[in-house]
Amino acid sequence: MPVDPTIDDPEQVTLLDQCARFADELAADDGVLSSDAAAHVAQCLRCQAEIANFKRMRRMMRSLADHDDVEVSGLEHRILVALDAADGTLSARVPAVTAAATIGGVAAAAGVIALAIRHHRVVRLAG
Amino acid sequence: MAQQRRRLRIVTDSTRNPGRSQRSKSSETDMAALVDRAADGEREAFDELVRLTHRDAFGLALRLTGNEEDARDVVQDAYLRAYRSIGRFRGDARFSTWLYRIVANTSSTHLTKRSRHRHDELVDDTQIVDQRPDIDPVVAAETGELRNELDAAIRDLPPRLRAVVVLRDVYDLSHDAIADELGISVSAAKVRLHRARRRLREQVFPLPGENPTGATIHAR
Repeated sequence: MPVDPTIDDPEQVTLLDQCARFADELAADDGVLSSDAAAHVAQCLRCQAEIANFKRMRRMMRSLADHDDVEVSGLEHRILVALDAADGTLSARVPAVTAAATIGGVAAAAGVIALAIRHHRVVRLAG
Repeated sequence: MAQQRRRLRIVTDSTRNPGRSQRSKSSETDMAALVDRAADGEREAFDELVRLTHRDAFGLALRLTGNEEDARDVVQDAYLRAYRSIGRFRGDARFSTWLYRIVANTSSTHLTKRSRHRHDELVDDTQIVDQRPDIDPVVAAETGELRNELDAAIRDLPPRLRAVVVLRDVYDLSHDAIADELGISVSAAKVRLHRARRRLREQVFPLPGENPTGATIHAR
């Protein structure tokens, strides 16, 4: 916990040392303090404020996702197309042009392979 | 930072986004029925789950990655993983919690891969810039503006601290689940959580004597 370097009262410095010692306990979310920490907090306004702030912050964080206004245009479509691909099906969601291009590409690749095999046979026969 | 970072917009009108806490019990039941059908291999049921949950999943991914394109990649990959393993979903947790765990794991993997190429992203001592307007925190408590500040402070956390605090405090995952999905020990997860909470508290709710930019002053 940060400490104001201008504080030179030994009693107050000791108290702030204790604040630093119990800092992790104050940030924990179970709300249970050790007896030492509880005794310190009972007499330390700073740590009481710290606990109140942590509680307030966690309450606000719980509500953060409920208030999200995220822009997700196109994301659902993208996920569903990826799922179609994982299923091994040609997605009905893919536009017709893309589907035609895919089919054309596959056909062209098959043609190239057939030509290569034929060429290989011709070379072997000639040899 | 070269890549553009998308920022979450926080709305205060709850009718626009009913949110997790306000969803009815019947919708939870409907969700459970969909999960059962999807687990039986019914693709339409899984598609419906995607429709119902992708916004929340994207919100989480965006918080964890801090980048819209990365978040979209993460969400797509997470649903593919969920689709492949939906048959093993035991139903002892809510589907959304199970999905959050997958998103967290996928984000962690994604960020690890990305860090090999972009070293500036994971430096723990990232300079925190305070862009907050001058406000009275007492007056502005619980308002959308304070939420925006908190959200901005979360974004400014280093990714490994951000992941833990987002999963625990925003999406309510258990310490065990967080440790599992991030590949760290439970005690490491708790240490990171406390560090993250302290930074956020110092940033958003500074006590007297603290520097709200996040720089702490130590007496000795």
